[in-house]
Amino acid sequence: MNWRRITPLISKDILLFAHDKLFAFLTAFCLILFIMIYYILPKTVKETIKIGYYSPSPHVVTGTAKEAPGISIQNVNSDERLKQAVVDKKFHIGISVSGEILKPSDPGKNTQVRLYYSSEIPDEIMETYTIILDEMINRMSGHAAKFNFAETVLGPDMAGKQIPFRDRILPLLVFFMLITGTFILANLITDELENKTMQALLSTPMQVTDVFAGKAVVGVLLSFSQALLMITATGRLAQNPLIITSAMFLGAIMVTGMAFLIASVAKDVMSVVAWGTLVVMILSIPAVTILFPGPVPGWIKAIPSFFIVDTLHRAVNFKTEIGWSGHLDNFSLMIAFSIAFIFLGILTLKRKVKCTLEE
Amino acid sequence: MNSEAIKVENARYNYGEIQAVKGISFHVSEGEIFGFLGPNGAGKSTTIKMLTGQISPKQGQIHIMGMDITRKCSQVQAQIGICFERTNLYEQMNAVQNLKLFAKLYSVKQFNADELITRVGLEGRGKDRVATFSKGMKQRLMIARSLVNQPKILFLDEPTEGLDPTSADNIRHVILEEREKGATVFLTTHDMLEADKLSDRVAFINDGEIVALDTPYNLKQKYGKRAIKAQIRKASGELEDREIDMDNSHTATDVQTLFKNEKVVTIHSEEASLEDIFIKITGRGLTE
Repeated sequence: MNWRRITPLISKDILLFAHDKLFAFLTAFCLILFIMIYYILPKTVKETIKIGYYSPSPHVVTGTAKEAPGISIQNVNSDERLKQAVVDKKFHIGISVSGEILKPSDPGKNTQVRLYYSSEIPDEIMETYTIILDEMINRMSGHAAKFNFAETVLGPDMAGKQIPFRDRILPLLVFFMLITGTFILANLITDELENKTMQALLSTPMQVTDVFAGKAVVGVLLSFSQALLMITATGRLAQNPLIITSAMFLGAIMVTGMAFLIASVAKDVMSVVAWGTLVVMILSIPAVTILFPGPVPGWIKAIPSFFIVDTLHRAVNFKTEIGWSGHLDNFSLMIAFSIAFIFLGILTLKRKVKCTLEE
Repeated sequence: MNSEAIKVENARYNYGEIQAVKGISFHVSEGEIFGFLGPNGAGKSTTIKMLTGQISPKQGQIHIMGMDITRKCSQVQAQIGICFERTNLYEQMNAVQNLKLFAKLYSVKQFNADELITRVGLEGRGKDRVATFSKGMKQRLMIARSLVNQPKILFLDEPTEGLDPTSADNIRHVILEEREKGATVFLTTHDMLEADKLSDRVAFINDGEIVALDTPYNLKQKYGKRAIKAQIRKASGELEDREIDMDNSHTATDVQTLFKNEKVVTIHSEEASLEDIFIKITGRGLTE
């Protein structure tokens, strides 16, 4: 490879990108929009369960039960009002106790406790709340079970930590900025093939490997710089700079390989957009799953972008919990996928270039 | 110094089952303008692609300035200039940027883009985006681009096709200037008049084979029909064309009889054009 020849090619592609009004505008627009989205989203988590409580007896909920973290209990003066408040979404849950729970009038008889849930709460959450409330009411009535529970989370507590939504969505936004580079590069290559300027380049002493190296540098440079701008603007780069930049760099290589693949099947700007959108839809699935806490289904891990967004998520949101060793598996797979995509992309694009030269 | 700038021996190329070039052999001397003529689809562009290292011949050997094109492609490409049939410039860049890019790709150290732009008649348009240029201006810029590395061999694929007379004349002028400087020119065209004006020798390619190769003069002598064409005015006042074969034993008598018995209005000798010769050899026209 001759870098003295590759360098002007890189400058030329960046100049052409700047002249391409559509893609230059889209890139700037996405960057500004995503940064705005990040800052508009709440930066703190307010995951408080609002509970309404009604009991015909003089007992009201006070003290520690009322002030428990993440729980807000409010007394309501009738069962009907409680139900209406739940329907009106003032409370997530309503607790209606038929009698005195502290001193039952008839010790042999169970006190009836009714739980009202908002219609939007799914079954599994309802079940969890019922167990929590059962325990809470037992404690309030002084009938707590005589067990001591010791909770131990093995490994970093990924579900327990309360993460603001904007930080949870950040890997998705960064990934979108990375993938924007795919559209730009695929379009630059397709243009080169469609307008036969590739033929002109290859009639100089420049080798096809030089051209591909130049394109790869442009692809990585554009994708990486956009993602870097995005994460820098959010102020989250400082969380874990080395891991974040490394993950974004490998991600940029991966999407560059994809741009080569798209360019080898696309014929013009419209087909670049069509193929690119399909790729974005598939690759965004793992980033979307990060938005929701909980275990990730196994098949999601078959999508290569999972390892980029997962690494970004862990690095941005779990700096203290996860060190370098916790990222090793992801990095190994990212390196493997990046090499595979670049290799596959070059192979298919080489065939396309050969066909174009023969035309 | 190698006197053969281009040497082609039994070169073949096929696209799948279709044989585009069927074992052609020829040579082009240094400083020569070589016209490569044939109709569309005859194999002209495939030949030029093989000669410039864009595709490799499936069989046979091609030597450019004594170097095997398949083995020393980069070295060859550093010393040749190509003007493609289809305009392939970076249209969002200006003329100077286009030329400077290629100068860097050819590693030309001292390059004066403005001088080259003036030479092809585009002075004052160097900073304009190529997208705003007319077809003729783009083609002139293509010629300028093919000259950035001061090539020893210039490959021109239909350089004047579809151009206005001014642009075509400008390009022909540059071709002749390059020859004066000692460059070899390989010119493909189906414009027979252009080939006749510019070429030292011409080769006719038809259906992937070279069917004739010689100087335009020799080809005309060999294949052309020599005749005297006269226009006479009849007694009724009507004009009539007469043709007398110049290679008959009784040509002189025929001319004498014509002038004696008829009122000759015009008379001139007629030579065959390269197009007539091509049709005579191949049975098809060049614009088919």
